[in-house]
Amino acid sequence: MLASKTRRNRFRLGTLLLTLAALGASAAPPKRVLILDSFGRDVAPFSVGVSAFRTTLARQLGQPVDIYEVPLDLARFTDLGFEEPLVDFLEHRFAGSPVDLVVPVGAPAVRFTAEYRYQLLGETPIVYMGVDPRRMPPDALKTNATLVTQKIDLPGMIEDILQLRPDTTNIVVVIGSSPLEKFWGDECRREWQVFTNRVGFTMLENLSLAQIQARVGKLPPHSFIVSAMLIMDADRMPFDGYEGLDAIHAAANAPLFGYYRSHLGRGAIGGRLYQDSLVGTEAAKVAIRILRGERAADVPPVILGASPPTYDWRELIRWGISLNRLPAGGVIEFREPSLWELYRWHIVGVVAFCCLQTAMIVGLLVNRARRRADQAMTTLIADLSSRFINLPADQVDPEISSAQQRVCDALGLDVSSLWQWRPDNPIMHTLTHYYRPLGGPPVPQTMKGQDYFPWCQRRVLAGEIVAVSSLADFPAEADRDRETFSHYGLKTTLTIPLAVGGGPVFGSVNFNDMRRERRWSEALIQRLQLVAQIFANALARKVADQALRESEARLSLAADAAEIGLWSLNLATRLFWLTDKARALFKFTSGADLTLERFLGLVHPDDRASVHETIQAIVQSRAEGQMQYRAVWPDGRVRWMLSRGRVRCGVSGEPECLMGITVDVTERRQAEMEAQRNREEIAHLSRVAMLGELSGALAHELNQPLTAILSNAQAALRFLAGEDYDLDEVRDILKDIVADDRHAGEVIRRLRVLLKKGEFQLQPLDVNEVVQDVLNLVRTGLLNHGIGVQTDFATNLPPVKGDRVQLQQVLLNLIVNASDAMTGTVPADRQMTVRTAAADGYVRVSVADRGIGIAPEVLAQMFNSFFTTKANGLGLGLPISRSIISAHGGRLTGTNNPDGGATFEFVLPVDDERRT
Amino acid sequence: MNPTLPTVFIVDDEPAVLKSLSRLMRSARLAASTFSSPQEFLDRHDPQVPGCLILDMAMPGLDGLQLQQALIAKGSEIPIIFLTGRGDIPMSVRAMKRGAVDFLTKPVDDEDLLEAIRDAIEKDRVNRPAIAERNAIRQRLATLTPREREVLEHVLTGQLNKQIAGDLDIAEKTIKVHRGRVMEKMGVRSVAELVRLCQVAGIKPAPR
Repeated sequence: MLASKTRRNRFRLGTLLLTLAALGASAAPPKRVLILDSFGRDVAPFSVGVSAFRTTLARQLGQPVDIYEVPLDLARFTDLGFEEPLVDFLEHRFAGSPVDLVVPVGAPAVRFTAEYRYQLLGETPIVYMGVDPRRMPPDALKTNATLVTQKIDLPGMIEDILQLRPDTTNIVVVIGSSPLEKFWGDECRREWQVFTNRVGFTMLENLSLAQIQARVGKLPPHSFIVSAMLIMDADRMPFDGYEGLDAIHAAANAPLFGYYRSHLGRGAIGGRLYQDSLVGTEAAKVAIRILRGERAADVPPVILGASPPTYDWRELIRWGISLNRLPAGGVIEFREPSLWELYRWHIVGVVAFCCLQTAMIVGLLVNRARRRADQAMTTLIADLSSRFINLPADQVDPEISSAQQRVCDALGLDVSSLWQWRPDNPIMHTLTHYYRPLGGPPVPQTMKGQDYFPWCQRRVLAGEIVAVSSLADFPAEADRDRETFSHYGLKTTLTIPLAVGGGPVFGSVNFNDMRRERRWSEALIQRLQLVAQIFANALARKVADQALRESEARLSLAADAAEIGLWSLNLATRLFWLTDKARALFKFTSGADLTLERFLGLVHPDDRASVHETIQAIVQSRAEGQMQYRAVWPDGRVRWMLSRGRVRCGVSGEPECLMGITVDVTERRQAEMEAQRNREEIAHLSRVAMLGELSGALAHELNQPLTAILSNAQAALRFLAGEDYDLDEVRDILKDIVADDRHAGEVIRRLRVLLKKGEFQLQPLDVNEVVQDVLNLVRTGLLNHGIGVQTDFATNLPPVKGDRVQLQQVLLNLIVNASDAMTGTVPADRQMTVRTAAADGYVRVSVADRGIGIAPEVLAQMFNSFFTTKANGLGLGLPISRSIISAHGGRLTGTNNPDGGATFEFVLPVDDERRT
Repeated sequence: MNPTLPTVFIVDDEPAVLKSLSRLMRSARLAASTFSSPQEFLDRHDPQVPGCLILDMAMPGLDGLQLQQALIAKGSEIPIIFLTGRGDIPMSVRAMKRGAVDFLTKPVDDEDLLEAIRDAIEKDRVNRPAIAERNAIRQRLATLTPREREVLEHVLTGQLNKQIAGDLDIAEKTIKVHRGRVMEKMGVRSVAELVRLCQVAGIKPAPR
């Protein structure tokens, strides 16, 4: 042990570096940079940063750079005994070629480097890269070293998830089993503690990938998966690339959060991300400064922030997350083009098709006259041309295959293949049509063009025709292509790109010989180009047709599911086209055509005229409109229908058809009417309930005039029983009795009005009078509760338009509430103040009490139906009051007073008609 | 107002009721005086005038019960007949406990009311001399200094001057002087007389 250490010291890399520099060997040797990976060389996402580092360094240093990359694989081989041979290895590996800069990537490599730096590196500058600051060894930056990284924001991940899905209740964290991952698992637990009152966390640790897959496929609703890191699973199975992430994404039944920028596009939904590539780029910039002579110690550490919130459009769509949920400044990537965007060129191509074919046929006829030798081929092309016109989409594929065969037979060709790819992703090629009567080695259904014929592919994608008579004609850089062709026994090739209307190349058609070489004459190429064009147009039309069909099918499916009938009325023929659902809605089950007249026959006789008029009006306006009407089913049942239609005009600008939708709204209407009845019933009940509470007070109110009447009458009787009574006195008494009786009658009238199950009657009202009326009614009741009422009425209030009884009901409710709120108040403070005021087109009425005020949790709900704080309350007073005030175009609010108690206040719009 | 004639005082905030009740009094040949609020009665009432009070229970500001309490605090013992809109038993019990003569519900029959008034006036007439004497004694008691009052309460226990001096930790001679002053201020010559006055006024002997 001691011996080996001595040896190590003697061969220190740093020492060697100095020695070699002193020798001053050849001029300007390339800069040597040593990258130390924590894991294997290609372990994603770390490899993303390293790759960006390499590219940027090579491109921007401005002088040759020699980059060594040593994967330490410390994450998997964790026992320290493994490190010693590693140190030995590095010592020997770089003994003869000292490095100018060392870049350890990731926490394990950083720790290793910092620990052995004096042994291994001496003063060699170091750029620590991609290590969270909390994982930095304490003294690592003391000796000629700097740091480029991004701080890992663990709480930010959860915030991002809750931003997208606030109803998330279960966050499932997938994390691997290497020591590094275990560290982060513990950090997550610690830093996410604060969220545990909102969401539950499930840590999927120490599981194999298969177990993880099984778990993430059966998550309850409102789950979200966080794939923090998966370098090695519990079976000690390491994952180099994105296998872990891909597998989770494939199995998951919930959205997936991946923290690395490079996870975006691989199934991660997005958020504020770790910019792995940017860290590499920034580290390269720092490395360049150091390689150009700056001391590493003088370059301040670069700690990047998270990326702006960035999302994968496809994942958002997949999980139904509204784009409205994205934070301001959110960036959306991978947005898929709309059908039109995707197929624009195809569709344009189809339109161009007919013109092109006409021209083609004319051209070919000329050709025929000129070159009789090509008669057969020319006839074939003309035939193909006509066959492909108006060919239904589902017959395009068999027709192409048959055409390939006919062309090969006519020209003595051995093979014809047709490959297609997505114009926006020309990597994967799919073999869709193949004619190879002579057989040969199996051809994969899909292949990466760049792997098998990179040279040809480049040309074809650029829109060039590739004609190679003999494999020997392939240029030197086409070695791979030659190999592929030779493997399949092909001796020649003609490859023609497939595209329409100047759009992108979406495929190629190939013709080959297996038995001989062939000179591809210009004339032959031209002819086969025509064949290719016919194929391209047919394929494009098929795609466009499919897209249209799919979108129609989807719409129709959605409409059926929503119980919506679709229809279109041809205004010229007065015939309807209907979906089956539309027929079912009207119970129009006969297979007969539905004419406008027949349709009107299905409408309730009372609505027939107005339906007809509405249709005419919509057509005349050339806009859209809707109507509700009754339809009568054959069994006599009446259903309410809602139809909505829009006029479509022809090229001449004249209305051509009326198209739209129909829904059966019978249940909805019934529910609405039911609700209306319930509302009235409840309003009445609540009035009765309120009056029950007030009954004592009302009895007292009646008692006053009754007392006066009785005493007056008995006094009069006594006077009359005496000898010298004063008739004037008796007359006064009788007058008072009449007045008191009227007063009692008034009380009863008010009571009856309040109890009446009334309908809404709007009339101009003096608000002060309305308020005073209610106060008269409740004054005594309040006195019995020891509650005083102060009034503060504005003079000259403008009139409002309203229903007297309903407004009184609201006031009554507010006053009763105020009184209830003050039961616990000291008697001297049991005061309520009723104010009226005019304010800017409104009249304001407020009832303020000095009670207990409104508790915060009550404040939010007090206008909800059936919410009550009273033992015997119905919880309807305030909601009904609010709906009454709203019906008057006003607003009812309740707030706490700064000095205690609460104030309820409503505003009513001034009656403009009566305003002078 | 003739001070010797008993008067029916009526307090009610409802003018119509006030008016009809005062008419009823007049028809029964009773003098009536009306007040539209308890406060007004407190301000204007002369306790020297004999009679009774008809008091409405529910009124703004002070209510009937509170007025009753205020009158008791003032030393007025005018008999009260309560009128109320509703027969509230707990309320009537409280009122009666505090010495109300009657508790009637509105609307009230004239016979019931007039009978109650007659009872009340009679009660007032009987009470009045005793009340007058008690008030006179209390006025005299009010002139005693705190020390004299203390000595008085000890005298009522029947203690000798020497014992009182021991209890209060003052000279026997001084007790003698205080005792003389008390007898003089209370206008009595004998301890027996002093004890009677104190019984009337409700003064208790010092606890032992």
